[in-house]
Amino acid sequence: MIEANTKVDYGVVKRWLKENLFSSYSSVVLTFASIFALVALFRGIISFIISPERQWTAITYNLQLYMVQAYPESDFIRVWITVGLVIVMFGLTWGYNSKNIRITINNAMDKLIKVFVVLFLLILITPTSVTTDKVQGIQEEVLQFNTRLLFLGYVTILLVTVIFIKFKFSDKTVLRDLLSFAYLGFLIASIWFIKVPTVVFDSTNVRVQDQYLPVASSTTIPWTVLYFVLIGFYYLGKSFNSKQVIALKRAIPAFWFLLPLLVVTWIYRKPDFSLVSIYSIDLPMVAVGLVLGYISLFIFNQEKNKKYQKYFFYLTLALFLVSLFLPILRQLKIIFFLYFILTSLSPYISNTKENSKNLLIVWTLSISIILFLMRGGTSETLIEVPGSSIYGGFALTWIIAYFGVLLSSPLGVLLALGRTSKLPIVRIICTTFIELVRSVPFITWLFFGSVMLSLFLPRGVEFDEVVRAIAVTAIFSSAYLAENVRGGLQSINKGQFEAADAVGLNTIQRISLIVLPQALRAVIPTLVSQVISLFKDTSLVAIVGLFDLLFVGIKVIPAQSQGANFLGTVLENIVFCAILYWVFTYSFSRRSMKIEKRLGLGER
Amino acid sequence: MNKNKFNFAFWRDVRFLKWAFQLFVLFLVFNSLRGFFSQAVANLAATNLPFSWRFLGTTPGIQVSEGFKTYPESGLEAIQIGIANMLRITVSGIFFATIFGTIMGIARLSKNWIVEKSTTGLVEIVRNIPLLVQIFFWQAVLISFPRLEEADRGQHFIHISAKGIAFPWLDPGESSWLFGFWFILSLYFTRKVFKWRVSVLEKYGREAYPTIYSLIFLIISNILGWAGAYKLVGIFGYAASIVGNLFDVFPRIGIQVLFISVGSFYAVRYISSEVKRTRSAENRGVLTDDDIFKLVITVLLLLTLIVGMFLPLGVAISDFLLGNEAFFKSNWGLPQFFQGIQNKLDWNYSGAPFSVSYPEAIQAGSSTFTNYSQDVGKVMTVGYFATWVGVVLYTSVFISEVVRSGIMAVAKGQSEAGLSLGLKRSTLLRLIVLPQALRIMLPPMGNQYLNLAKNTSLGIAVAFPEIVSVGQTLYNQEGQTIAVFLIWMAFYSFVSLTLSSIVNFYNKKLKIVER
Repeated sequence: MIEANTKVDYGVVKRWLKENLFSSYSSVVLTFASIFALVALFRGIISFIISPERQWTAITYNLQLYMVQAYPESDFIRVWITVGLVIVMFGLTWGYNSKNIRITINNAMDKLIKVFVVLFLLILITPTSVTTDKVQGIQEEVLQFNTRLLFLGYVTILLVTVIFIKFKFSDKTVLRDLLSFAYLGFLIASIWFIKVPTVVFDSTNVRVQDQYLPVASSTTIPWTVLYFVLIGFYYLGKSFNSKQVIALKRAIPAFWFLLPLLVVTWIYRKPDFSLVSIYSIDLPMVAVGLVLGYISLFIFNQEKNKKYQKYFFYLTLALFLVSLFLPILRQLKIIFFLYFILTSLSPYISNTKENSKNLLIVWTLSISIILFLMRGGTSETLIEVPGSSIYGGFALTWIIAYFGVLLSSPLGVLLALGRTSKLPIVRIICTTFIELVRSVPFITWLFFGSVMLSLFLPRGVEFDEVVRAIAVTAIFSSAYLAENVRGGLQSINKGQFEAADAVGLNTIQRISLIVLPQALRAVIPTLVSQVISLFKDTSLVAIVGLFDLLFVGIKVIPAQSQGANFLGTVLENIVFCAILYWVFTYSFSRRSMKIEKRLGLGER
Repeated sequence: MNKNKFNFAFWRDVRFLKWAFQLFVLFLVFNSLRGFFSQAVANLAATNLPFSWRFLGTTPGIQVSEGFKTYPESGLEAIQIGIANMLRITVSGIFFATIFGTIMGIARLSKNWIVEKSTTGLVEIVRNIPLLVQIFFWQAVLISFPRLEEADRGQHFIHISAKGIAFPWLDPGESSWLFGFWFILSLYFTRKVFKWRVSVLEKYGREAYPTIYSLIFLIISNILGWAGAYKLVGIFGYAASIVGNLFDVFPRIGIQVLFISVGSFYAVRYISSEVKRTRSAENRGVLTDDDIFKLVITVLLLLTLIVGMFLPLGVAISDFLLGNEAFFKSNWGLPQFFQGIQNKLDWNYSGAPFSVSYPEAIQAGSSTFTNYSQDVGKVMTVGYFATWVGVVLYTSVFISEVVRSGIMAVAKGQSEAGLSLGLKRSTLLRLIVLPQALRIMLPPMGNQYLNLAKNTSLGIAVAFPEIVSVGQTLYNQEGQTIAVFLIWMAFYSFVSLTLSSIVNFYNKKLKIVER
């Protein structure tokens, strides 16, 4: 076995080199020129990083600021709960959708060997001295020879281990997910062991010589716990999958949808609520909802009451419209509105006893969830943050991106339908809206939101600046989304419309059952890239002065003159922001490519 | 008449329902817009800053850090500076982004493994980082260069400092416009020469050297032009002065009648074509809701034009076109435009059109600081550099994707056919693949150009005074936020309409070649 592996087919390598690097004279020149350029680039990047001018402590010291800005430290457990819930959901989804793909150790180790060999070569060509004074050209030795040897030693040890594993277990296979856990485990272990320069203060709060300490040492324990939580919920999801709990297939997207709402209403906000108000207001309202649901789903669905169903429908409509103008709780108005929708749909979707029962459960559950979320969202927050919003840093970026997507999706689909509609006035209104919104850059809309929006609203109606930014983001994004969806709508075969007409569907049924499912499926890749660009565009809120990730990096930290003093550390912070944004957008886009492949789009 | 045979109530007629629904929607939209705007008017009245356009005429008392003027005399002029700065970046950005993007797109299809992989890596890095972050990055890079005070005062060839990049530039002389016009004309005629030689080649089948002929023509004509032949262009200036003088005797009613007759002509033509279309075999003379709606709108627009031409705004526009100085006190109208041409293209001008000047570091006023001299050389300021590099790099990455998919969409048989004819790879790309790919690439390319134009607005983050930034300064000074927003909207809509109509024009042109 070992003999077979050691025998390398040099002909293949030679042919590969000949075809891919040295196929012609110009190709040879190009190859050497680009190798030279890449090496120069790498050396430039490394000398940028190790230059003594750089204060990377600005980042290690300010990680908290980057993530949550000024969120009070005493309530950090709420941030961890948020992260934990995301990880729980992630593990569950991963486990539930896991395909049990096995890969051979041989292949996995081959990849690692490539990585480590490249790393070894890179360490070899790393520059050791840096020009500290550009005018006079003074050079300074930063990396000692010993350091380089040390790194080379580490990589060699890793390389030898990997090669050993490769030959020892070459015929074994392993679950791909397990391998991912192993890599993640290494990442978690690295925050325990890998040391980076950290700002240290003495007892009189004066900054002393930087020491090498593990990065973000206060987060090591939570991350480790979360790592095991992830593994636990992965196996839980997997067991659900093997037991074929089909309910989870619907529930997981619903959980993902509810999770951020739960976070912004209850977890992150720390609402000031009293149990009494829940008992005395929310629970009775749930009971009312339950009774109403029972009336609609069971009593009026009986054969003898069918003829009164229509009048009941008008009654609920009247109830809703009247309640709009009554001085009652907002929650009740929403319940009446939802009830109107339920009554209008119940004759079509609850045909059997079984269906009605399930529908009643879903109805009760959803109004309880809505009431619960509204209770948290409408209570006063107990978090006190200097500035107007409790959201800041990377958390704000995520909040704007999530709610931007959430609000813009239905609006965008409606606009697209309006633009392709046969009704001329509706079409003109939608087209004007889309084109006006698209013609102007996003930043001017943000200015509109931050400066002008309050002019158009009645006096006394004031929104939080984050809410305004989200609203503007949603409106802007919906116009772009509408154009993407329109592409999908236009790609649908005319025969589909005719078939829908032939079956006797009305307009709403035709759109919701025939047209939209196909149209949306066709444009999933463009929708995902739209989401990615929305995520990138959230960085623009820094210009209007919201404390998002970029604002912290570009304005807040380079102006810190108290304590640690990071005045003028702009480049380091921008590079960090860029890396953080890149990691997320890149993984989104890789993910979308996989989805595209799985759906088999463009291959039909 | 047979339609009424069914005799059902009119509110159950689908045609009635459709229009009732639409009118209801229109009413809702109109009403909410009216509500918003009346609220805005009320709010503005309460703040003692009623909505007005007056700030366009008064001196705003702001300083614009770069542009053709530093202290604008009116709000309108400030906005013009912003527009000029924005267009400067947009035009040069589109030019360079197209070149870089095409090179990158071709490099991503290269057979050379290392070239392909490194370009792909670059693309993946640049397009996944927000543009604003990149602009801040380039700003920080330029600022981290040594301060200008540390450099020697005096002349430099190319100099980079924290104040910007200074490089040699052509200083225009008196006759630069004449020569510039000559140069454009020479390009036009060079193209003619090239086409003539190609037709000779195709007709007689002998080598006619089109490239060499046209190059020689270009060089000779420009040497002649530089030596003084540019004076011939002065004829255009003379013609412009004659046209400009014509406006003195032209009455306002003439302009109004002209507009109305042009409008009526197009309306009548449109309506007749529409009616003709519905009389075709497949439509059998039936006007759909859509057609009726279109016709009604056309007639309404025409009526609006006829009435509007005699309302104050129409009168103001007519006066403006005649140069009667009624429009925001400005002295630009059609006569002034022709006078300007006459001033630029006067055949009395002489001397070398351009002379090279080198940048110079000088003392800034009486302070100890150093500045680049404004009169010689050219300085790329930090804001301009950061915005330009950021926008060009970001857009060229997306253009590379467009180019790549365009080339890949060309049928493989085409390049195989070219190879079997014995064409070189570069010739194959130039003559067979790219022309076909261009047709596929053009619409997404136009989209990217539009994105570039809109992305220049991020210059505000690095204090580059383009239109959004100047507008913000203006409304901070004058408080007219809504007016400034309307200006932004009008300007960007105009830019996107112009760009998309240019792209559509080329799109149509390419389509004709196809058939």
